[in-house]
This record gives sequence, structure tokens and C-alpha cells, in this order.
Amino acid sequence: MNSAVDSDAVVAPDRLRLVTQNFRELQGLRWVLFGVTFAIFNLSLPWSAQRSWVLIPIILPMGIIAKYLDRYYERRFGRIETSPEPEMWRLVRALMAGLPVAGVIVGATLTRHIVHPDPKRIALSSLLMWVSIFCYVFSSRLQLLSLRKRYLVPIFVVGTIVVLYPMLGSIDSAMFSLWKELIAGLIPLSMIIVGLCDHVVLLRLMPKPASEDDNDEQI
Amino acid sequence: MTNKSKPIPSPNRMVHEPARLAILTVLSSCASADFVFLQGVTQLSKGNLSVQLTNLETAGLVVITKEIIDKKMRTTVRLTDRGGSEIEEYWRTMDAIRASMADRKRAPERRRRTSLTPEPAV
Repeated sequence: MNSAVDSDAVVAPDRLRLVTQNFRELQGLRWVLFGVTFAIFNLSLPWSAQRSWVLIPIILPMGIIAKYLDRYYERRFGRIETSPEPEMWRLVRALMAGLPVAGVIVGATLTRHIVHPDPKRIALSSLLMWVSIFCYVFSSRLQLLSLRKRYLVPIFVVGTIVVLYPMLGSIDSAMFSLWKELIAGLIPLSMIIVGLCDHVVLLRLMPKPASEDDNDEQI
Repeated sequence: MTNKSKPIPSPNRMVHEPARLAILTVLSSCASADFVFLQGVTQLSKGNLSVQLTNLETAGLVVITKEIIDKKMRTTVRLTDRGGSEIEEYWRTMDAIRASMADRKRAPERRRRTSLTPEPAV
């Protein structure tokens, strides 16, 4: 995408506004880190349930990497201070953030105290969690939907098919165990893929300027 | 409405230049931005961005602040109140120009249609 502005160029105000207003949202490597942490946390669950110190070597490096990511984004893309949002829009955003939380709580409540788990019931509660998380991701930044739909829609469709797999027919216990593992990894994996794709979008919207001899800012 | 009845408004030359317009558009979408972000999003060279920012500061449309963080200079730019109103005014003017041009395009069509309409019998 060649978006250079010189004296004869045409300014694309919509692109400039889109990048500026969604700059923080497009810093996808944070989602990748969150997804990796989530995945490692899931994998370590059998050990960490008994020995909680197991979580320390997981959380500590992630904190260091998060700090490094902040520095990376600041050096590569710069920094902005966002304009304060209207009170109403902040309230709507807070309510939308509650949607995945409510979905996870309701889903977990539906599957709690099940001695003999019914795959279809678990599939329904998982679907509730999956859809509520995706509704939040889809609607949190509507301006970005035109750019994100290329990867969000396929991920949503594939994820929904995986979640609904037990509804398609009866599954044996081995397949059910495999399906549960897939479900556990679905959200972290989606975070990683969406994060990487968001990062690629940001790189394409803000390509690195041609290198110049001096590294100091002029003026 | 004829071509002569409504003059086409002219935009502010200080804002209309593409590089300065890009900078002002970015700054109007945030509270402040640093030099690196402005360069990345506008794809201007350091020299050009620097010159345009100085021009905008001289015109009183932006405020530039410099601070040294980790032994490196950080230049932060924000829009002044005047800068904010100038960019808003610029887009209003451009909308008016667009509307005016569309009106001028439609005028001959309207005239042609009027001439083709048969006069009512008396």
C-alpha cells in the first residue's frame, strides 16, 4: 500500500483517521502474548492446581515480554495520546466488555456439577461462550470490521463448527476427549491468529519509512 | 440556481497542502502524536515532516513540545484550538465545494430537461 504524501499526492483522510483512532487496537502482538499465556496456563493446569508456584515461571517472562512489546511499538510506530471518549460511548463499551464475561459465567454454570458430561450440553455452553466473545471482538471497533472481516469471519466459522461438532452426531469417549482439548485451545489459538493478523494490518497501514542517514528527529 | 449565482468557496492554503492536511487530519483524530507516529502514518520524509510542522507551528495551528526520554529526543505535536477549528472549517469548505460542483454539473441537465418539457396548452 503506497500511501506516501508528497506535494502532489492526494490525502486519504479516512485511512489516516482509521489508523489514528484504532492505533492501540491494531497492536496485535499484545493479543498474541495474551493468547500464548492463556494456552500455557491451560496446559499447566494439571500441575498448577496442586503447586501454584508453577505459574510464576509462566507469568514472569510474559510480563517482561509485555514490557518489551510496549517499547517495540513505541519505537517502531511511535505513540499517540487518544482523545477522551464521550461518556455514553464509554458506558456502551463497558457493557459490551461484560458480554463475554457473562457468556463465560453462564456457560460455566451450565456445565458445573455434571458427573456424566453430556457432550451436547457442553457444546451448547461452549457455543454461548464462543459467540459472546466473538460478538465483543466484532462490535468493539466497528470501524475496523472492513479490514478484520477477512480473517475474523473464517475464524468464527471454523470455531463454531468445532464447538458444535458433538451436535452433528454421537461421538465416542476418545473423540470427546480430543474435542474437549480442541475447545480448550480454541480461544487462545483464535487470540494468537487474530493478533498476528491485526499486526500485519498495522504493518501494511504504517509501512516503515525509507531509512535515512540521521536517526534524530529534526525540526 | 445558475453558475454565476454562487461563487465556489476557496479553502485555506495553509491547510490545503497535502502534507500539512495529512498532519492536521491525524492530529484532529487524537489528543497528541509524536514525530515517529506522524512520520509512519503520513509516510513523509523526516525533513519534509519537520518543515511542515514548523510551518504549522508558525501559523499557530499546532504546538510542538520536546522532551528528552532515555537520552533520546521525543517531539510531541498537538493541535491548537485554532488548528482544530481551521481543519473543521477546511472540511466544511470542501463539502461546500463538492456540493457546488455537483450543482454546476446538474445545472445543464436541468436546463435541458426544462427545454424539452412541452409548454402547457393555454
